[in-house]
Amino acid sequence: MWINYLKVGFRNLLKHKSYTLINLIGLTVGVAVTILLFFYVQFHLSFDSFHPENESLYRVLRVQNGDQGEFRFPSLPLALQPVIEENMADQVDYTNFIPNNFLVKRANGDGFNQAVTVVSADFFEMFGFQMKKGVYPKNAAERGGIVLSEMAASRFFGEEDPIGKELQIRLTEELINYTVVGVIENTPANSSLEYEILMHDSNLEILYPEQMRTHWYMSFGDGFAKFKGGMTPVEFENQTKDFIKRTFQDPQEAANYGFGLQPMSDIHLNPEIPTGIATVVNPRILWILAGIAVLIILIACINFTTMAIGNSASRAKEVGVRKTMGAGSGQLFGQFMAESVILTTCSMGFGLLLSYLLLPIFNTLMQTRLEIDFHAEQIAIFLATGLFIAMLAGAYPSIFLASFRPVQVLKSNLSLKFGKQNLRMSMLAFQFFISMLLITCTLVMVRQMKTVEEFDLGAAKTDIIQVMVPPPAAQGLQDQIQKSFDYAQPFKNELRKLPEVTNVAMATAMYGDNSWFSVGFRQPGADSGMDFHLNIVDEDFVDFFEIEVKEGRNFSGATPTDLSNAFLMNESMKEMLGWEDVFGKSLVSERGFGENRAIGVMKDFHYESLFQPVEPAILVMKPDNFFQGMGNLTMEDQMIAKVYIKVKAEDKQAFINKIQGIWKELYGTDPFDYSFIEDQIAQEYVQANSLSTLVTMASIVALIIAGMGLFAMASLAISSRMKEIGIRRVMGATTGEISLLFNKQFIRITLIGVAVSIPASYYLMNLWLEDFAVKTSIGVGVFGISLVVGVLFSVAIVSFEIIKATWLNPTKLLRSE
Amino acid sequence: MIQLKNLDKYIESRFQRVFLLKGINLNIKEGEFITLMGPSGAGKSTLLNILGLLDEDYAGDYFFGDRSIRSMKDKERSNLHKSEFGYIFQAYHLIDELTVYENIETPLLYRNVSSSERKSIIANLLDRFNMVAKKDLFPAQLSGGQQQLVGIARAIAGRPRVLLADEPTGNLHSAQAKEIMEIFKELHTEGTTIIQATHARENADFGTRLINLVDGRIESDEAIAN
Repeated sequence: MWINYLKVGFRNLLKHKSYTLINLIGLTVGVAVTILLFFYVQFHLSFDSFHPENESLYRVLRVQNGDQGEFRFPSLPLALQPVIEENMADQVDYTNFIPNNFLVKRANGDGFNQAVTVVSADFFEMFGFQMKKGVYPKNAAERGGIVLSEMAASRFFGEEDPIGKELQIRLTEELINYTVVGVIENTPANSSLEYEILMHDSNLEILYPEQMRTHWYMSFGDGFAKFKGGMTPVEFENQTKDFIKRTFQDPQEAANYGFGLQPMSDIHLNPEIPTGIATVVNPRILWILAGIAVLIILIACINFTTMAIGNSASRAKEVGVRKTMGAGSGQLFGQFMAESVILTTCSMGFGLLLSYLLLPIFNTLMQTRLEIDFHAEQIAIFLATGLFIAMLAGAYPSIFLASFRPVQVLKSNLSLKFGKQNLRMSMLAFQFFISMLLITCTLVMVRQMKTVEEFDLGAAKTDIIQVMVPPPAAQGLQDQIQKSFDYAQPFKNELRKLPEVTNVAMATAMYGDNSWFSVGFRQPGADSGMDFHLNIVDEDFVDFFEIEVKEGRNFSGATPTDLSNAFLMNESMKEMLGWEDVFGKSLVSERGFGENRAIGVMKDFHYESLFQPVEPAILVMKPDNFFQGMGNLTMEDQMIAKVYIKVKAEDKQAFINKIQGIWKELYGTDPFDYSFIEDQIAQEYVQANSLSTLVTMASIVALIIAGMGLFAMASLAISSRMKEIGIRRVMGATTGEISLLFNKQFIRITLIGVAVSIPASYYLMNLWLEDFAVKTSIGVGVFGISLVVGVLFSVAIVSFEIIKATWLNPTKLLRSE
Repeated sequence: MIQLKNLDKYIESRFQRVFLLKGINLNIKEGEFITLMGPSGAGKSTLLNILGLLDEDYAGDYFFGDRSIRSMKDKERSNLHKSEFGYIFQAYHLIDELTVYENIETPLLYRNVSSSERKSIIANLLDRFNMVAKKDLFPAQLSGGQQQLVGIARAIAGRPRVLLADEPTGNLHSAQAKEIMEIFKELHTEGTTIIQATHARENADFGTRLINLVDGRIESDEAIAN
């Protein structure tokens, strides 16, 4: 019996080739888009899930209570680890995870600016990363051993066996020899933690002086805890809290300081906590993407349903005959479902193929490393999608067809009126609603991204090259900063001599979220602390970035004290401090900043992405006096001087080669690491941009699928009214009049779709724009454009069909009835 | 075998009831060959549909054997429908997407006949109607007469006791019509009860009983002597 069903199914699909093709294309594209989006969402939801006993893994957070509430940072002081080891060793496994960049080289090879992560021995036990070869350093005595990821191993040693070989790493003044003792797997694509070279944390003694390692307000990297023996998060927080109470002298201070926990599975999906070492995805974006996937598949399913119903006249007789032959409704339902399953299966196959082809494009677009490798979740998603489509698309037409009564459908010469016209029309309106929604969103997003791109940051950003200074050999943070400036000075001097260079400046940072120091302090007698961002610059910085000094003056090489104690603040800083007259005033902290005096106020400029408002900031030439009295200090990156070069050269690549030559002369094999500021800024908007591109693609796909649906609906509507067209033609109606007759009906549907989409897209886009500190307005124009697009689109399709129909000789139309 | 008692069929329209059949009392014995005649709209097809259990929307009683159709459960009625009735239509109503062979096979599939049995039944039928060579053709490739032969083959494949034919020769020219009627006669002599609706008086001569319907009533009911 099933063979019979399938035969009829296939023959029917072949007979109505254009409908089958429209359905197949629509579903295939829908499936491909859906698979990619669902897999992408699943990929992000699966982050860090591969660690065994994942539920007992946590990232430790520093909790700071202030006036503005509780802040949670992933960066931890190094002082925490010994406390845990002494007090909770049998209940908690703990590891540091401190990312660094060091110059790494083989004895007589080139140097690389290489990521080196400092971890504890527990690291290798707590997580699911597999050792491939060798062992890992277990204690301070073995701190000369390092573990390489497979990728790092092949970078330094190629095909050779790296075990027992040496690498030189410049932690401080000179290169230190390390021996490779183990090789560990590369970090999986869905891991928050990424590493290349792993080093035992007893090396921190070499890296930072005692006073920094025991300081509770200096944070360096992340820390992870794994609980055992009945330890609970609450217990952990209480125990550390108790310790803080015992250790800190000031009870107020102790009350404001603590540690919290973030479940491992939360790290990738919680945008509330500053990112730290891990990339974070806003779950809202995942839901948006999943939503888009569902909408696209809905449109494709609706196409299937409307066409199946519209086409039901051609199947009515068969239903009647089969029922007379003794078929029950259930059997007929099964038969029509089987046909929908055939079509679904085909489109699932093609869709999978298409998604394979689209995967590289998708990965570039979304800056991701998604793979279609059919692990259990992907298979489950794939099958569920297929089942969903088959059910959604096939169920209604199957019920509809199976419910025909033979007496009615078998009467000869009876022109069947297939009711449910309203249902089909509302489904069409729904398709238009989705398409128009996506189009409106596209327009708003594209406009917003253009606004962001063209926004005047208040500081220069074009034609600027940034050169990273390699981490110098140094003792401590201040020394490192100073040495990096000194190191780069000769390079700066040489660059000044080049005709293409219009200006050169140095600073520890310029653009990027959290790229500046974050300094907290409390004014004497104040109830709450203040936070500001700090950047260390040279005297050319302000001019270089064309920052406007509104009050007072810029740093001056002619005033020697500027170097040691002067600072510039931005308008937001002035506002936070509430100062009237700025010049010569000093910033005072409870703990006592060193000598300092304000020399001017800069107009606010955006140094972070436009997702952030401009925050209070100051510029200094030497940070030492501020480091003395601050409450706490947070840094995301290594704070090392960067050289900024403004260039007027047509051929940028030739210029780069030129300065690379100068670099080689000065610094030999030290790595030359440059980038364009504009690329860096663009990097901040990659997620927003790729979402916008994706929505654009989705709206095009939606429009195409909905267009095919409209095309089919129009041709069905017209073919069922061929006789009417013929009669009207005979009565003298023109093509235009007939076209108007049909268009009126479809334009009404389009308008309904557009009308409903306006509030929906307005709401969604406001939600999206909320993230930006700088936003475009959602004007009437946007809705106007999508309205015009929608109407033109449907008029074009419907008119095309009608013109086709009216070209036929009216007598032919009438005879065919 | 079949007994209709005071059967009415009507449509409620806004102001009045329009009767399609009114006060039909009919007794059909096994083995009869009945011809329903009457002008268009007299109710011939309506009566056939009711007899064939395709239309259950009527007033009055319908007994098949000694059981009332109305008292049967859906399942029983559907089994009765499957096992006892075969249908032949004026417009043949073959399934266009199926070959001759597959069309004849369809009712057997719904009767859960085994595969080997199906083969032998269909082979016999094809042989009987001289259609062996055409078994893999689609309906559109056949002449009207040939299509109706397939229609008959399909109707009798399940060995029904009652064959219902609605204008079986309406779309055929006279030579083909005669051929079809000869087959009916043959089936009748084999014992099948046949009820046909027709416009053509000459077709009635192949049967044993002629019922004239006018405006939904039985106007005359006479035996035909062959």
